[in-house]
Amino acid sequence: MTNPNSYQLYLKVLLDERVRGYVMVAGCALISVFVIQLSTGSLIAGGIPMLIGIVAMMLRWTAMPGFFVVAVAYLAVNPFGVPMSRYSGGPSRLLSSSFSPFDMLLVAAVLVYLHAQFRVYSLAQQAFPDERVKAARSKRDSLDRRPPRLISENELLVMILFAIGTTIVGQFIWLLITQLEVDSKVFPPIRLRRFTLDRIRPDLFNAAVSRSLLFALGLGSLVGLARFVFWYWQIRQWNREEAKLLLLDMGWQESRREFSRIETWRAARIVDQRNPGERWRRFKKTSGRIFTVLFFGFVGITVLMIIFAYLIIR
Amino acid sequence: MLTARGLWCLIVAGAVTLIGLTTDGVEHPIVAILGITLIVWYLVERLLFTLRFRSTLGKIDVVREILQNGRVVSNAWSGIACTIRVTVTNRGMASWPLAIVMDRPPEARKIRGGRTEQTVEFRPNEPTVIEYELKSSGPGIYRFEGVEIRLADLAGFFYKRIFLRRPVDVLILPPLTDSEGKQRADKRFNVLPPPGIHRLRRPGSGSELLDLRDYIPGDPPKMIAWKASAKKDKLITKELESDIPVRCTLFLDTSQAMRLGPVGETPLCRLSEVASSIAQAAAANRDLVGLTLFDEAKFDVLPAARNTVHTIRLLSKLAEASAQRPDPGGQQVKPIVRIAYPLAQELYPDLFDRGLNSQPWGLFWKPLLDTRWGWLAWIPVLFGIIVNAPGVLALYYTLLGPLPKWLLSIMPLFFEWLNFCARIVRQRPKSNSLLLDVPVFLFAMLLLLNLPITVTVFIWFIHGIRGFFSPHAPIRRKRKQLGAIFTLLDGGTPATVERYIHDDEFFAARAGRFLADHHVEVPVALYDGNGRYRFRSESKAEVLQSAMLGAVSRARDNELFVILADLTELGDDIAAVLKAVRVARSRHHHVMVIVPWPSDVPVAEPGQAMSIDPMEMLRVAKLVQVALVRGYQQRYEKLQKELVRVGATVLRVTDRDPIRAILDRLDRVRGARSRR
Repeated sequence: MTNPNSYQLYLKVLLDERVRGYVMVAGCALISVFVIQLSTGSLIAGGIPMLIGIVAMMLRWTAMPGFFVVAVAYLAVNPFGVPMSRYSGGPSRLLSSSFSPFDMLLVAAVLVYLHAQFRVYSLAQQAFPDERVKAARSKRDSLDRRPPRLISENELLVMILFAIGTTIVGQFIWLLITQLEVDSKVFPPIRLRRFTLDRIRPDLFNAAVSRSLLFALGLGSLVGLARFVFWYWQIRQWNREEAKLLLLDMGWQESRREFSRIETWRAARIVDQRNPGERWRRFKKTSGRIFTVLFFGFVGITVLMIIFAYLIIR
Repeated sequence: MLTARGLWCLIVAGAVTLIGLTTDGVEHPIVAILGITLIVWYLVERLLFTLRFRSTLGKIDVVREILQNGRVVSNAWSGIACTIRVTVTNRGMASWPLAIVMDRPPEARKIRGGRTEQTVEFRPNEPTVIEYELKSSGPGIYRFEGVEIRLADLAGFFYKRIFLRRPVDVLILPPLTDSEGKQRADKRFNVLPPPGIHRLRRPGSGSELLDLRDYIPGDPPKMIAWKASAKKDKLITKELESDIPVRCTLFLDTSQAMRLGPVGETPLCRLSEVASSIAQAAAANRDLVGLTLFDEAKFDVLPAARNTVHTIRLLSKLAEASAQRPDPGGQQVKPIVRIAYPLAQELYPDLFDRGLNSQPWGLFWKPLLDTRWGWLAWIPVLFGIIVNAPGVLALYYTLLGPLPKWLLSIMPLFFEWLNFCARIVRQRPKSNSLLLDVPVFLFAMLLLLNLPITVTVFIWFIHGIRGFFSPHAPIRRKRKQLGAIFTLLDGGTPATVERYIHDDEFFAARAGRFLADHHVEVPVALYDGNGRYRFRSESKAEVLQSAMLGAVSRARDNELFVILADLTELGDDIAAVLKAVRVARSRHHHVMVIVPWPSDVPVAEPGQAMSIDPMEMLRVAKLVQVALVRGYQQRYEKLQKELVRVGATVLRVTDRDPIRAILDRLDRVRGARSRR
């Protein structure tokens, strides 16, 4: 019987006419990354991410997309792979600006690649996590995948547009947080950025700190709001059983300590009734030893201390 | 909700964003922009997933149909394949891009064809149909729990599983048989003969002619057959068929021992099939059939009747009885949790939410001392107070001035101790550096005096923290979660949850019931803690006696009592049964006993010795097996002898055709010739 998770089947899915579109898009995105990174003048900057991408696609190493992102980010700052003093960027970089077309293209290419790569994994490798306990799993068990027949005609286009849209939003957020700055002297403590040297204005936050604060504030507000809305929605959707369980659990949390004492006592009595002496034997076997060591150790150390103190006085 | 893939992507995106924002942002904004864009992507995906999930949750329809021979039926028949068709429809507004819709098939039933799951794009108002085939070899129940839906996004970042609980029990009725007790292949559903046709071959006051015989003085003149009398030149009387049918009462043993074995292949299933065949054949002959189900504690009577509704009711009862599983009994907590926990997770995923079914840290802490030894904890505490009191008082004296009078009056002991410490300080070893020597000495003294308390606290901490690790923590967590669900299902109080955590026996019993409710197989302990066979129940003989005596008291004339029970295991404890049979025989009723026969025990012919290879006898296992087999055969022979002596007929299920034998006996009871 053929192993449903074999590499041959993986390749077969990759070559499926409906999946092939994703593979090609991923390949194009990798080439784009290579070309854009190459514009920095370093072959390494373009080659390594491309190599990682190819490995991720061909050898189905699911951790590779993460390494790909890290590699792109690192090599964008250090194109030759070695941290060097202040690299001034490519010829088209607009200093003192928040916008660079190369950056935007690079981010869009990375995003398109990631989209395509993860969808290929869902189609050819695994789409749903395996919830079974490890003992119940076998390597020959078929993993749950997305059947290629479910790929719709305009899916690829929507994915690319979505990636581009996300890139634009990301760029816009970057623009926003670089054009604003945190100033503790005014209220509200956010104002438009004044292009001055940080060192001359000690009253202001550092630009990096300001950016981080603004981003964290925006992200926190957005996530907090969304969580609140969905939390309320979730409560609205609770069924009778869930609501009853919540009340039961709250009651249990409030009275747990009292009930615990009673039930420990009751369980002990049941054991005593069924097997007289069993509990004492078990106690001696486990906790009894600890207790004995603790008690006699405590008494012994105390006696030793008293003798020691007495000897000093004498 | 977040998968491992999604989590790692989020970590990478977060790290890149953090580095990008906090470092070289102006010259190399690419890192920050890339990180921010990845975060935006993640947030949008999550938002879409949650929106889709929430807007559709609770708006999913599930329709289940059972088809047999192309028709929708409410009950299935054993021996005939049936198709299960489940239609799941999304009535919400949003579409789920990727979903696995799975119908949970009944436990321990093999799927003969079709698939129980489908991977689909779950669009609004587009039904997803799942079809598969099941076939049961014996009567019982198909338990359908509901439909599981697993959802994921296209990138595999998010995942959610819901279970739409729609529990349905579908009876698997025993196969249909004809008047000869054989399964019919041509016409399945019409079990009664056409009106006017019957086989009541017994003289009576009916309308059909049965026979002609010589006139006996006292015969009514209207019964004289005048033409036949003229021909024979003597008076001949007509005999008509009887309209009074024979009554047959079946006693089916549903005790624990009868439930042992694989689903659908237990002795109970086999005897149910026999009972069903007898009931249907008798009904086909217009005889009345009753059913009494009995076990170790009680019996349940279905009075004799002969209409179609009664037959269906009788078959339903047989199916329900066949579905019963043995009490696993004497279960340990760990093995039963290992089976019950995944099942509960599968069926009640919503009730495992940490917000609803919490696990506070205090749940896992292992207290060092039992509550009755709790007072011992005060010893180190008091010791600590005594040891540290002089230091505290000295500090008080230094910072806030003289001690209050009330403190001086009630705590002379502390001052004694203070003097004691002061004397130690005064009589310290001589040192060149006084400034260095005194604090070091005091610190050393303090440390030494506090050593017992420190050791105590350390041991207490180590002991307590062990509760947060395996094997204590996982079993505790599972017991709490399962306990809360059991309490919810039973409508209990918070105290019950705590009892499930502490009381092993209480928990194991409820978990066993939970598994039985969902028809999940549990390894059954055949022997108790003392090595005794758990399924030998003498009490069922007394229950059977009560049931039979009740039936005899209700009986009218010659009736047939068929006992389908495992009496072999009872050995010498069948006195109650013998007594009941004797009473029945004294009232001129017929009694037949049918016992199940284990498939691995050969049938011993009278006077025939078992032929075993002498070399085989050297193996202990073989020796034990031979002894057990021989013991069983001897018990059967003895049972047969005892029952035959009181006038009952004993048959085994392995005998060629017990149904035929019973139908023959029915014929004899009604006074007709044997079917053979």
